Amino acid sequence: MSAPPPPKQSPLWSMLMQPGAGWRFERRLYTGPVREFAAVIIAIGISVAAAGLLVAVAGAGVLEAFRGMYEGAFGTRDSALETLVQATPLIMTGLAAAIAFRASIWNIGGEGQFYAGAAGAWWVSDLLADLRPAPLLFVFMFLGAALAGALWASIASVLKAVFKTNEILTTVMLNFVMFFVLSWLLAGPWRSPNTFYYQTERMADVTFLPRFTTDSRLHWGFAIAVLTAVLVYFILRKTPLGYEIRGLGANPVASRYKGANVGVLIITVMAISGAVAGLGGAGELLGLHHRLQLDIAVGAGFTGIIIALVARLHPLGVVVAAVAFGALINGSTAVQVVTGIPAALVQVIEGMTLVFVLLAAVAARYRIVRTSVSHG
Amino acid sequence: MDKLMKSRTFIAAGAVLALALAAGACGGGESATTTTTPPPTTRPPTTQAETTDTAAGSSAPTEMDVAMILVSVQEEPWYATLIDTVNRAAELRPYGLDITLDVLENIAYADGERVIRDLAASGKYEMIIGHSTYSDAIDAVNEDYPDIIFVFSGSGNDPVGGNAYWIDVFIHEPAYLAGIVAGMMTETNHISAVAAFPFPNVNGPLNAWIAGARSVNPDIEHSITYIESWFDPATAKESATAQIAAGADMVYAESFGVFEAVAEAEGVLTFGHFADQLGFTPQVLTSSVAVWDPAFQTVLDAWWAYHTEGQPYDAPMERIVYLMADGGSDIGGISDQVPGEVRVAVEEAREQIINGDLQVAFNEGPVE
Repeated sequence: MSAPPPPKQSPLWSMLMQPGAGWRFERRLYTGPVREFAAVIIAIGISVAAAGLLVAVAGAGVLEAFRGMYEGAFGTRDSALETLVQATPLIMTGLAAAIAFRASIWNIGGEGQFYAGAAGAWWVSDLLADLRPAPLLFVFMFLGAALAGALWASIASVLKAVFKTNEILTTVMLNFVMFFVLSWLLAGPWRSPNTFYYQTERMADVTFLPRFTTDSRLHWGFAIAVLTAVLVYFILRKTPLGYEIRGLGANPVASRYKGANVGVLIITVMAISGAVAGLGGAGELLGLHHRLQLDIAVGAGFTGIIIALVARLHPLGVVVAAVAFGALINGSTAVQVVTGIPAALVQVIEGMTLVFVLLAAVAARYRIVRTSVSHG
Repeated sequence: MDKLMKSRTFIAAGAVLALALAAGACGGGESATTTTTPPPTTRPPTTQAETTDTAAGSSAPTEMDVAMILVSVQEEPWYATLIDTVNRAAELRPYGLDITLDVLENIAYADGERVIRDLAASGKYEMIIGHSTYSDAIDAVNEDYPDIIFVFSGSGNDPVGGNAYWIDVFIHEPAYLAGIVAGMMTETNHISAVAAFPFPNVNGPLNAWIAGARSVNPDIEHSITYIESWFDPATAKESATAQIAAGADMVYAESFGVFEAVAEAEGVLTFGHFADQLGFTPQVLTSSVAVWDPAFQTVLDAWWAYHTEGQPYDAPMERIVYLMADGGSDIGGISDQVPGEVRVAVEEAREQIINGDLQVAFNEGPVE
């Protein structure tokens, strides 16, 4: 066995790689799912420890804070169900990000597409207010949401496919555009005549998504989200389209030579991604809020990106990560009540988890080996 | 190979995240001085507070823990003024109560129901204030916690009733008084205002401010700029600078950012809004100040009556709002730059408003 070729040199690298230093980093040829999974688990462990450190620095009891977090998120049946309520939009935005990222299309516009979907659902509910039976109305509202999300995402994807614009920039900026479009709609044509605030009227009861129990807020949107995750998994794994998406993500040049129409593929992927985010928006509108407002997303589009990355872009992993993040959000109020630490701690934990997961992903690709002195 | 590529994909995805988070940070920060309302036509009767201990039996509560959730941060005047009110109550100890206050910032409306339910379920709080447009959220929770008193504030709300009280403040009367100062002190006869949105509760004080100026100076011209944001100091500053360039020498600062423009200009004076902002910059002459105390006291009285006399909660279906005569608003501190004759005129008008001789219209329409 010959030694692997030396990687590019940097000062730190050279220092670590000094012949005779005794140890050195070496890139693995194959990381393997076990190591990748272990890396995520270790990263989450480190994040939790770091969060505990922050709590201690803030002068509160660490165990008390974690217990508060747990009690708030899973302590009772109600709180556990509420955790799933919080996870619901995050599953959808996480899936939306994961689909696009699988194709190496950086859709940062989940937030805007989420709003587009909510707006689409609301518009349909207004246009077809008298449509019965109710299930048919739901079909059209969700179709409207998916279409609106897909169309909004298509602005960026068509620009990318035709003009090769950078979709990171366009999708980020389209979030703001959507915000202002919505504020125009809510200030003018859609505003409730009873109020001067930027919101629609409360929607009719017939548009409310059914809830699983009478005493919790867990609505069918959660089931839709889980089904969507399974569907996305199936599409990515078992269909020609999924193969092309993964192929585009792995090597767009090869995809092109293979004969894939990359432009069409980009537009397709973004449309699916936007539609999923849009369905998430509709789920929140019809399941929880029943009134279109400017803040119904609460950053779900952005948290979804973190979730997709923590889940390593795996659709079923997205569900798990979304429930974990939902628990963080749901437990945060209890932590604040018990310890006085602001609920913003959760955003810090989210950010740290992402950083540690990314670091762990890199670290898992290397191993430390003992150098043989005879090497030089 | 596939694995390697996937990892690379994954790392690259991480790199774009910084941008995403930055965008998220920019996109946030919705502020919530969202008071937009029709004018008050009726007011619930004032229940005068007894600030001394009452002879309520030994079972009477001795403490009241208050939780307050905000859409934005506690420094914003809309929030800061009510927080000050609760803190004042904590010092005055009405009914001998130990009052504590926990404030939770940056609670989006969409998150309101979850947070309010969590706060109620914690069992720690006797009063939960959703200090903005949280009536939907409170409506979903209040009946499950019949002993807790819930409060929501400002416009955009729907009435809830029962144990959920709707409070508000209107400051068109002190704005009228500030207008008198502007009308008497302007040298260019051009006054201006920078404001958030053309909402009724924004227009109300602005119209009154101009009416006050006209009452002492019929030659007044005015210009108004709406910056279409609750919080955008840069745009507000630009707008004020443009107004000053166009000849305005009295600028009403409905929005943050005006003071910075005034501080950089020569011979321009300004007016604070909602909180007493005298001294924020030396050019502030006075402010239109909201005072939540009587509305808060009304709610506190209802809570006390419920717990000591068993009187059921029966929140009015209209907002609880007090005008200047009842202590719901007032003119703030007046700068030394304001001459004595102007002060006298302000004080006379203030007395006329309080004793009912002068009615200041709450004109919610566009400023003309």
